[in-house]
Amino acid sequence: MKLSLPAIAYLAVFFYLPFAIVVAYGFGYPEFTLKHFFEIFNPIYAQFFLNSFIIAAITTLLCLLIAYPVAYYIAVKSKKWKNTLLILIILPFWISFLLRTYALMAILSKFDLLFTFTAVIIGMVYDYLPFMILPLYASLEKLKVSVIEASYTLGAKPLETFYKVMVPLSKPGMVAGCLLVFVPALGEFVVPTMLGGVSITTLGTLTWDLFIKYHNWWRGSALSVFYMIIVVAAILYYIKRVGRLEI
Amino acid sequence: MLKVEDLSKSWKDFSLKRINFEIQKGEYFVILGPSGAGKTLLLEAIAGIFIPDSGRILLNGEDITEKPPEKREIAYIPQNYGLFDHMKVFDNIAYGLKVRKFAREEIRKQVEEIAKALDIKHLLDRKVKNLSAGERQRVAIARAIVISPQVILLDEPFSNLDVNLKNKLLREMKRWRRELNFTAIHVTHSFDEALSLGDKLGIMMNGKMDQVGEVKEVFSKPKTEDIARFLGYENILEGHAEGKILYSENIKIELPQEFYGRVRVMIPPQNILISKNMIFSSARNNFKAIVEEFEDLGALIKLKLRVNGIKLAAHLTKASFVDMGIKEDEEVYVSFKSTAIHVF
Amino acid sequence: MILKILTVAVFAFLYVPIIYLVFSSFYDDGFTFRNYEAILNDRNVTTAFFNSLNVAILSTLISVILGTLAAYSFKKRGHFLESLFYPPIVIPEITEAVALLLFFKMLEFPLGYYSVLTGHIAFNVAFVYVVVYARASSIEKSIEEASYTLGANEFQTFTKVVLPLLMPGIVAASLIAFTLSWDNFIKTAFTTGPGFNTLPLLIWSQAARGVVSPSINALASLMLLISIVLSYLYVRISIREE
Repeated sequence: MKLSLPAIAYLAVFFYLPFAIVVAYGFGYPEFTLKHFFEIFNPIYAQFFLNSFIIAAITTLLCLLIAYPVAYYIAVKSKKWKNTLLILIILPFWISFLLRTYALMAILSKFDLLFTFTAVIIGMVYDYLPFMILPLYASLEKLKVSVIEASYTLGAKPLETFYKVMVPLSKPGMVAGCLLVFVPALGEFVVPTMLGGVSITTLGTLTWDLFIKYHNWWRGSALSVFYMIIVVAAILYYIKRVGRLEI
Repeated sequence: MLKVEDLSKSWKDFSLKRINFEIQKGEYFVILGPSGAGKTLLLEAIAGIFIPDSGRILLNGEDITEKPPEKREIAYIPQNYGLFDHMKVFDNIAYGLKVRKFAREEIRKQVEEIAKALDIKHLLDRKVKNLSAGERQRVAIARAIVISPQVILLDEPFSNLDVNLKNKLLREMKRWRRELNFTAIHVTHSFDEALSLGDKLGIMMNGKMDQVGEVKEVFSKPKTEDIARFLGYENILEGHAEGKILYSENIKIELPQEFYGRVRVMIPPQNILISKNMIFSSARNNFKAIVEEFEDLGALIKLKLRVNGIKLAAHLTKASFVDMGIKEDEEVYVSFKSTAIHVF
Repeated sequence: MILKILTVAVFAFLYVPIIYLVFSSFYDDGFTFRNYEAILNDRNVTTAFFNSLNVAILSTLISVILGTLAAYSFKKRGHFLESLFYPPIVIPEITEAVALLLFFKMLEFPLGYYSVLTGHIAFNVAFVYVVVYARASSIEKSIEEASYTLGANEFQTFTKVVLPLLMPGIVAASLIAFTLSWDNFIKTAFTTGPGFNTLPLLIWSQAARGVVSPSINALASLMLLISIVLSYLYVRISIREE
């Protein structure tokens, strides 16, 4: 116990205390007011929230659609290449979003796609795809080929097998993947800025602007508190759904 | 030399309830009990890993109940041996000497000596990770003995080994004991370890140590019905005693002493004589019985008999079983001395 | 078959931009090292490089010490305080970044090297804790007990038995912590001040304006190489441990 005190003290001062300060600023520190929360819900901001939500939702959906067959292929079909493919999926986790987005930017500029909505979506999918493939792979890996074959031999058609056997069994992976993509995508800052330019404002770019450009701590804090509530809700939903939190 | 007085402790699902026993220098004390009896907890309390809730532990008259484990001079070999996988065999054995700051040459001398005694000298440069189960056990024993502890605690030392290896190591353990003359407390759930190694035996069940004594005595005279059942005795009967006569179901059994009221008795299966013909003897309990079935126990045959409403088991040698030509559903005569009956 | 083609296409999608980036870093009217020469001679780049290295090494060192001690101590007894180590991992970076910024502003702590370092340690402690904890909980308690009953005190047991057994976890945690700090962008951007630049910040300052320049290509390729080397080391260690 004693040995953990330095680490706990460190987190208390440099992680938990700063969060308390954000909440305090959200409520108008040094006054106490709810006006900053009302401000972020005015119609101009609503457009930004909607942008973020649409981008995160499309990203999540595309990632799921693309990742599912790939995860399935790695988990069930490939034997010889399995480890190599897995390493290739894990490798992007070790490269920062900034670098990966920059690499994509270089290509997108060749196609004259830079600073478009499409570019932002491509960039988001590019960055977040591994976050979807890995949890899906983990849950599909447990689903052995025999289960699928059993379903076939019992007379189920491929589509039936997919809906009745694979989807329910891989649900924990799908839930985890979707949350791992959707929640951070909602606050994503690097991709919309680099690939969307000034034309696309999201929760992430808005936070940046409020803090770095306008120094409006109060409104920025209110926005952060709002985002944190979404994050906590998502984590609680996941714990309830899957029963535990695994990192 | 080591005395445990009224030791009690609860931890998770296990508990120790007022444990008492004492062992002498050079003695090998085996504690026998089913799993979950609290045997490991008792060893850990003696080793100092747990502080007991109440009671005392005395070593050579000194109260060591709350002394930290590293100062107790009691070596503990846990069930999985607790070897340091990241070290070589030599460093494992030398560990206790190194932390005691022995000189380098002294350490080498002592480690090699003990390794020679335990036939593991050729393993000294190997990594512990790559050893077989039997080799691991020897390393663990060497590591404990080399620090010349007052007492060595062994927790199920043979449980991870296959039967052949176990028998071999049991024989060797006897030899090591003679040569190295250490004091040990050895907990186990297996009878053969108790029979072949123990000078003294304690039976532990449900956190209690109900009987402590010479090995032979404990096996022949279990103190309680639970101990008798645990030791594998059958033929436990319940009945109503009137003086020297026990009425059970509808037979009369002669008891060694006078009792009155409800009693439970046990008749050791090896003390029941079987014959084809009626034996006339006034001092014996004689009954006619039906052979229900028999079971091959190796050298012995176990007969399952029915005497009126009572079921009895009897042991007889394979030779006499063949001689008598006993078959199922046949009648035989059983007899046993009243003095063979154990009354709880 | 369709699955296979799709999988290949996805991997191409993930890796073509990276390969293209590396290729273009060697290209300027034909194969050349000129881009690399340019960044190596650029004072801004070398300063930022040493800043990044400095923060990464120090934050790794400190967080490994704090996180390992905590992991070891909680491994011995389960405790509710243990859950304090998970939020820094699951909370999105940008919220943590603004919190740190406000914290420093409120204390009127000058933004720069120390504020960046402090922030990096905060999230690295949590990652180190989780990785080392996993390793610590795999050490059977009988091993430590054996050490005590053989006469070793707590300090000897920790240095001679526990620490060597924790080592693979500590090395893995160091690699993760170093990587996270080395290419951290968002937290650094929020907590840095004038005059303190790191490599990610340098790349950002160009890229945010939509500029793709050959020298930035070279710099990004170098950083990529370092990330890949780190991940390779990590994979090697985890495979050897199995």
